[in-house]
Amino acid sequence: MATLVPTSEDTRIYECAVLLPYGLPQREEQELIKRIEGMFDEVGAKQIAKDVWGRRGISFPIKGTMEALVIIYHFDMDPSRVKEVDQQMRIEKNLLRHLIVKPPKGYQIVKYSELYEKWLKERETREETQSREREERLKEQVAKKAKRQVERTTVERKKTDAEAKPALEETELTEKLDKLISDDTLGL
Amino acid sequence: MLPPRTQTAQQSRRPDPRTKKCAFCAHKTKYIDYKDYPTLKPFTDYFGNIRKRYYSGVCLKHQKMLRLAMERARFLGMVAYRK
Repeated sequence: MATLVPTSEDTRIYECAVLLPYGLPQREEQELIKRIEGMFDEVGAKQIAKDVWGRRGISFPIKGTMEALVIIYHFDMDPSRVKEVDQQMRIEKNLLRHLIVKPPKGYQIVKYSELYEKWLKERETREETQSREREERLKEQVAKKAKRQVERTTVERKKTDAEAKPALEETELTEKLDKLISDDTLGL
Repeated sequence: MLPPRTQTAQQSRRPDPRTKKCAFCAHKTKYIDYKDYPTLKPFTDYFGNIRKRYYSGVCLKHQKMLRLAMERARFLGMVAYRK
């Protein structure tokens, strides 16, 4: 895509982002869009590009709605008349937000509506891979735990065997003692 | 006296945050767009704050651009002010 160059020295390129509430009746919505474009036409702005993002979720509620319709315009217009458009946009009742920005030198128009969809698809795959890795890690952990438990049980068995031996000796000892005690020759 | 560090402990340590390099400088970015959500997102933390330069490794020039882009994106509801 070509870089933006104003047509004459008196004009500049401006970028305008507009947030409309989603869920308006179609006729009202189109009227609103026409009115906004009309504001720019009155001032003598020339539309260069229009990027309709469509329905988008917002991170926080604006005027009670969590969804908005986003449109991004690029205009070639007189810098002294930007204020008028801004004032009119502020008065506009059904407009959620608007932002007029001067893009820097050598700015290229990028259609973010398409890029965003692409990114969404990529993100899904990324999340899938992450979840798979997590499951694998969990499986490894479970296997390790099972191994450890097996080792522990074997050690415990050995220990119990070792403890059992002195117990036998004790019985022998008691028998010997009994014999000694019961011996009559001692003369207790 | 502290016991000497074993090699396994050294390997599992986090990398030094000061040695990171600016990701924007690598791509030679001149302007960070407020509409570009995928690039803005990794520079915010869980609460929606912009990551500190110390942790993200972004240079001062690009951090200022990033802040401007983030403020614009927040105003338009693309990025949250606070989670």
